[in-house]
Amino acid sequence: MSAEMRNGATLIRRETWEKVTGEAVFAADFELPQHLEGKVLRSPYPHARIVRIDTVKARQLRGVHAVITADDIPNVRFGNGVADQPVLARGRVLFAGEKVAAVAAVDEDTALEALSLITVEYEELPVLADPLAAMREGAQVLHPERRNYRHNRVLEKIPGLEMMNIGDHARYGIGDVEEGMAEANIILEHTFRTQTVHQGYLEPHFTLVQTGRDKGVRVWTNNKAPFQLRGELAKVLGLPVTDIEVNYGFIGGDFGGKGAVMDEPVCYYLSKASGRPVQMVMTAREELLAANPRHATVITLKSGLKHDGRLLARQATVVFESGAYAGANSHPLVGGLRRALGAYRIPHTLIDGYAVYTNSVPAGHCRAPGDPQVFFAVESHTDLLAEAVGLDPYEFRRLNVLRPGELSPSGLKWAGINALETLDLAVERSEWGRTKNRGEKEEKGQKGQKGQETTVPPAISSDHREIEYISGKNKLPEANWKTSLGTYQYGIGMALTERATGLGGSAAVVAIHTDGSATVISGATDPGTGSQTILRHIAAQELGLPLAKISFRGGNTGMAPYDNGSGSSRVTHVTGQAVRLAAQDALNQVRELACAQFGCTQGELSYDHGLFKSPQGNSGTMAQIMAGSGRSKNIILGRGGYAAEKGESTCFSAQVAEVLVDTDTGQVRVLRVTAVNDIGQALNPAAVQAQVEGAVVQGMGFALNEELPRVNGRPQVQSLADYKMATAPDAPSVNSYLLEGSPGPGPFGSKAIGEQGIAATAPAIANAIYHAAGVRIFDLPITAEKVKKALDEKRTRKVGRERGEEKGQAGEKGQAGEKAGDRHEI
Amino acid sequence: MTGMRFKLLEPSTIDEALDFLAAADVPILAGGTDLLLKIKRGLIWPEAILSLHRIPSLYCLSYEEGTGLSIGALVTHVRVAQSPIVKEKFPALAQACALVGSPQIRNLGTVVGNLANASPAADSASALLALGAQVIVRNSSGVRQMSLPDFFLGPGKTSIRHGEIIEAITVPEPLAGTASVYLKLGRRQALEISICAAALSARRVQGHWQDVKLALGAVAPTPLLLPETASYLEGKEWTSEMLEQAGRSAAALSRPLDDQRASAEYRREMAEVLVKRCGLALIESAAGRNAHE
Repeated sequence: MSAEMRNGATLIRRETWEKVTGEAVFAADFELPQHLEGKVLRSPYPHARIVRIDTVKARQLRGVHAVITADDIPNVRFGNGVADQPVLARGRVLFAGEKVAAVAAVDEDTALEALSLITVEYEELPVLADPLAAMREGAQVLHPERRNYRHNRVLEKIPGLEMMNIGDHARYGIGDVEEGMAEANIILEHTFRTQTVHQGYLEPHFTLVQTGRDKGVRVWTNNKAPFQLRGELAKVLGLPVTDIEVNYGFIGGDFGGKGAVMDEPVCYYLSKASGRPVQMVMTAREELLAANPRHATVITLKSGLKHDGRLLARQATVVFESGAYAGANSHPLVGGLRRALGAYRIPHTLIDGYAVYTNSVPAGHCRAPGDPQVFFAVESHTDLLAEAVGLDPYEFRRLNVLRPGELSPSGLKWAGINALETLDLAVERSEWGRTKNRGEKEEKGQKGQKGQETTVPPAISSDHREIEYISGKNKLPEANWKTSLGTYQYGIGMALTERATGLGGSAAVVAIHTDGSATVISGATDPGTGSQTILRHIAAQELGLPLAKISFRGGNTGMAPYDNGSGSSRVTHVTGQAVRLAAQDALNQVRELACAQFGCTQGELSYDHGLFKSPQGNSGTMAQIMAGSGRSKNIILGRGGYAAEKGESTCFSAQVAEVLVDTDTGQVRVLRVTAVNDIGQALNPAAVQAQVEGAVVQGMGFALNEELPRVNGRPQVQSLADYKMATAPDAPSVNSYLLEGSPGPGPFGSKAIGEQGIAATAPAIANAIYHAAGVRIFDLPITAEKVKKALDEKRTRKVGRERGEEKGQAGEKGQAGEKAGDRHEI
Repeated sequence: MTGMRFKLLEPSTIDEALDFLAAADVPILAGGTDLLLKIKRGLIWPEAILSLHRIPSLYCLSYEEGTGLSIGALVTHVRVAQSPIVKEKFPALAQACALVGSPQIRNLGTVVGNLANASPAADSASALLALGAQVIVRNSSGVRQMSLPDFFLGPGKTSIRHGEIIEAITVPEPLAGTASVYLKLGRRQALEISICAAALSARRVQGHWQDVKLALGAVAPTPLLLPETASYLEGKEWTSEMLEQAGRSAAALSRPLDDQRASAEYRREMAEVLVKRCGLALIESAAGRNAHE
């Protein structure tokens, strides 16, 4: 196999044409004769007792085939991790948007009219809107019966936690954090908050369920983990796996949001009640109100340092707001938790993680669950620490960054730690090192922003390769930008993050056809990432065939082999390895045929550039060998399976963001983000760069604008017009560099990129805003209004200081001590 | 589609349209970017809709030297935003129309419809207020004309009565030396409803500014014309301090609300900033013009 085929070549996606012309089949393109439209009535209240539901009028409406409430269906609960979510609210609603009743009718209008005829009498209950309040002793308990829930991890270690709405708790670390803090010269503590955000996929959730007389269930859905969905439905419905078939097409975006059970159970019961197939499509309003958005968090970080800036100890308390139910998560404490300690060498650490029930929308998985939240906190905290010890943020990170062979702060041992090179390359390729920008800040007398003399990164070692991708115009002001209307302060900030390649189990089959082409059969879905292309590419590499000769088939759980689902940045790694092994197995079978034809042994046979050769001078292509093999040519079927339980390495990511802050309005423009990803080996660089670019824009939305705010549990944003995802004119230039050379666990030494590019963006922007305007925002999103308020407070304080009114108190402690959410112990 | 069953009335003259309206109170369709949304959201359930699309005269966007601009009821935002004469003579209006929604909305949505929807945040509204626009209304007894401050009554409310159609908006010819500007502030660069917007028009005569008109958007129940603040700026040679004072005056006259887009306090502060920036922009454009000449 040629190295050229592996590296740097842009692989054209076969489905692109279909998608552009509209031929590609998505879930909503499936249609069954006689199907009904399903609609659900949702609770307007975040917490209420259901006194009475009257469905009589709805049932009498012409065209209505089924109306169901909790009383009409078995008392079951579903959930990936803990099964805590009812199909329809039973007795109580726990969030505004919860399903209370469902109808199936001949068309959408009739279904909606039927909903309007259902009357529900509620008795409103006090709302638990804040996770910290929900954790207090004596708070009302939202899930009093949770000991009965399937998969519930009983919190035996710390009795009483479950009486405080704590769905899950974890505590771990290394060393002795108290000892570490005792040895520290400086201890700083900061609290950060992050908001609920939606994944922002274009295609809403779609479900179509057909139930037959023979108990069998057929589902058409855009769930990105159809085998997990099948397993969960089997448990909830009490059916054998063989009775459930999940069909799927292309997925119109996922970003983590389509891995949970959504409308499948309610469609199933509507179909049972009506005897007809029932389909449901969530509206944009329902998506914003009641899908499974990113967890809101409250994160407190406390770090102990030596005077010279070395980190000694870190304590992290992370509260994930689960919302009303935690069932959308494979584990209520999402994976990002351990990363609250950062990617640094810290001998003494302790994490306390809590997943807390509140009366809000149930949170789920969103691109790198937990990471953007904890890294916003930990990398903002890192800049605050650097300032406290008088170091440049880059210098401080270099001093503390995890080096090869060192134990991670959560106690993991990784091979090939590449953090320093990732960080250095981000500095080298960005404006960070340019003296003029950093120097100008120094002139203005800001502490901790030193010139560049001491921070020149060393040359990147020669055994690493990088792939560059520049998007956007990159015509940027080099410093503060003065116009006749106002002054826009320029700032630059950085962040360093880490996230491992995903794990799980996958099986795959590779069939070689009589004309020498091949088909990969896999259960992996393609949510727009190009997973089918990469899996075909991996098979092509192993089989020594051009990509065009490899096709991909999947489409339903009855025919395709098992796959864990397209999540946690695992498809290239795990499914890829399964496909690689299946291709090897198939190739081996063709080699047997070649040996039989050539009269040589496997050891003597060579296969290179698509040609089998024997020492005796016989040769033949794949197609020729197959054609010459009689009936044996029809039976070539390779199988592969791969299960990854534990990661041996991780992927580092560093970003440098440049911003302009309009000091009159507080508005922030992100000019450019330089992103470096430790990729191992880029199998399809164009697809990798697209992931990076998308992640940066999504990360920027999280940093500055996107938010699903609630007032006392009541959702305030119910329309995409009010949900401020970045538009094209908002997008910054993205300069992306893929750092190759530190091999990962995937095929051909690849690592992962689906989630790795997102977490550094928000803290890099937050740090750049601080550099630009001297204001530190501790809670996301960093809206113009918050920046403006912080600037006004800063000005007021400055005036106060100039008048000599402030004496003694906070004066010595500098800017970090001025914020309420932030405590110093020096 | 939800609620999307209605009778479509398609008259080919205004008189015919008025006859339809006399017979039944039906919503009027021009661009449809607001109307169809209301139907989809179930806010209205019309049995019939009166489309203006077959009335050719309503597509007219015309300018007559000495008289001014006339914008027919079916003229879209994109046509106004891209018109060379609007850009030259009425820059605030061109700027405002270029900032409405997205390209798709600007291609369909009409300026008259934007006014008729009476959103306090409507981009074209504050620009047209500052340019002294008039609304030309047709009814069975003829034509009536009103100025924009008389047209806006409240959020979604105008002084258009049952049986009336807005035929056009007219904008008077600006006197020599007039400059205008529209500035908008939102949470993102496009597809955005203003948090605050400001439009300023004035002409420079021997270093002094005359015929000053100032309007604000998204800070009161209606787009707001501020004659008090304008008269403070009238006849003066503007300084930065003066413009700040004007900003404070405008902010004090605004009556913003708290919503999920911004707090009332922030809106007031931004009114102050935008008024000052509008003034600075006019000074800059005048300086540019002098340099050019």
